[in-house]
Amino acid sequence: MNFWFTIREGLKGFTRARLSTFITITSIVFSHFLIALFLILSINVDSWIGEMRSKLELEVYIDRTLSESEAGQIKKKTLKISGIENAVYISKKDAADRFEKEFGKNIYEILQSNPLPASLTITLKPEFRNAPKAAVVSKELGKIPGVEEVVYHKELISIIDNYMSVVYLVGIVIIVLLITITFILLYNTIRLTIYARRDIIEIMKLVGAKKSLIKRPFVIEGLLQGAVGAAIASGLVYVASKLIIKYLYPFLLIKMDVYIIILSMGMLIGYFSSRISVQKHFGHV
Amino acid sequence: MIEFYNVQTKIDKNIILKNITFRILKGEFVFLTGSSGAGKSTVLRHIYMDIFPEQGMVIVENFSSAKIKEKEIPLLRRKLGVVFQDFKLLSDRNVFDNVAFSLRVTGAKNKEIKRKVMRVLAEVNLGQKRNFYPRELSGGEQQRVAIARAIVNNPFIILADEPTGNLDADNTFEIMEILEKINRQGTAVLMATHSQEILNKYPHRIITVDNGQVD
Ligand SMILES: Nc1ncnc2c1ncn2[C@@H]1O[C@H](COP(=O)(O)OP(=O)(O)OP(=O)(O)O)[C@@H](O)[C@H]1O
Ligand SMILES: [Mg+2]
Repeated sequence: MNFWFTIREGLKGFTRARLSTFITITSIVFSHFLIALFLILSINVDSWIGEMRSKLELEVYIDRTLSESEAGQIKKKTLKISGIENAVYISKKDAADRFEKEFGKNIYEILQSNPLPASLTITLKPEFRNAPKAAVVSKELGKIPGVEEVVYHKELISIIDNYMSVVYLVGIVIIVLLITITFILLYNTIRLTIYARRDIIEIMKLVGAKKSLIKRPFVIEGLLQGAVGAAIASGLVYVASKLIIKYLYPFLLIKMDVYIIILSMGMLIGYFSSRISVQKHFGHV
Repeated sequence: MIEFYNVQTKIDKNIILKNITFRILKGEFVFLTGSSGAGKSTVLRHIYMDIFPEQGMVIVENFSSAKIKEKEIPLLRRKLGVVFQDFKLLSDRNVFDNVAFSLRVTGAKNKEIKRKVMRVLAEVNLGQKRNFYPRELSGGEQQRVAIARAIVNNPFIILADEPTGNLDADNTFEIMEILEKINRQGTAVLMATHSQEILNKYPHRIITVDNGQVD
């Protein structure tokens, strides 16, 4: 009974303060749509970057004077360093074969000998695929006796790291801004609704309605506005992602999480902004 | 069952009521009179505990202004019926729903609501107009709806703050007759009024408020 009372009165709020309800829902749709786009963008950028990072390799060149079995010992030592996922031994001969594959010429024909050193190609565990960690690993590798030089694309990964932190920072700032704006708009709409319905609030108080019963419809109204706005935004995101996949970029990644995040965000913003608004404005009616 | 003990009340540092003491008994009909600004409405607000004394105490049934908790105020108000000069009806719902409103907020069942609302609408002679909206009713009819809403919870007292203030002579008479009838059925009535005519015509006890004091 009280449940239906709350729902009925909550829905009536939509028809009061109509313009501000409309503006609020529209802006919830807009902000949640943008937030969803940022999430999708970051999912995709993350996956590109992850792929790039997985290609990060460290080349460890081994002292030319060492024998094959001594080089094998070095490989064992490298595997003990934390953060190393795998090490592949490239013998002098392998290096010569590689050279021939890449340049189409046999190195013996050019130089009559093979000056190419044996080496280890090291891949890192995913959490070590960034500039500072790679630098630590590289230093450790350099300390192993018999290692002559460690080479990797230092600049490239620092660029990726810096770029990513900027992208994340900008994304977070924009999302926080959008949430704040939505929050303020909802807060204000509920304030206007409370004002528009001060007659019913007064009467409810007079006929002995409990305070929680008087407040609840307004909170429900905010929750519903948040949910409706976020649901419309989800629908738009769905359509937009289908269009992008069809006409622009067939590899677009999109996760169910995006919909779940924006729907729950809409409801949470709706709930809390209206609760706070009700708390704040109730004494004045 | 309503008692004021040495009630003194301030609003924004102004003393509005000074040392008021009186008592209203079960089933009594009492007029509250006095010039404009004397403090009649303020006295009534103490009874439905919309305002609290700074000194002294107001006792309403088993509730005391000194001890009542905020949570208990709705329970107190369900035992009172309040009627105002400006009716305070909800314009977005019809007569039936306006009256049903005070039962709905208490979580009453639909069947019970229907039975009780129809009964009180008959009592105020508005059964035929239960589907009308307030704007489709005369002032007198609107006040009868407000009275129906006030009595539907079976209050022990009706607090009426100038209920006839906006009405012509005929409608005033009609409202007074309804209040008399309710009173004869055992409900106490405390009515604030300016009207000397009403005071003359209906011989009930009169409490006069003068500049925040009673004689
Ligand atoms: N909310 C308020 N803020 C400030 N002063 C108030 C407030 N309510 C009442 N007063 C003051 O308290 C005094 C008594 O007011 P009250 O409304 O009780 O008078 P009343 O006897 O009902 O008058 P009327 O016959 O005009 O209705 C007045 O001087 C009024 O100015
Ligand atoms: Mg008054």
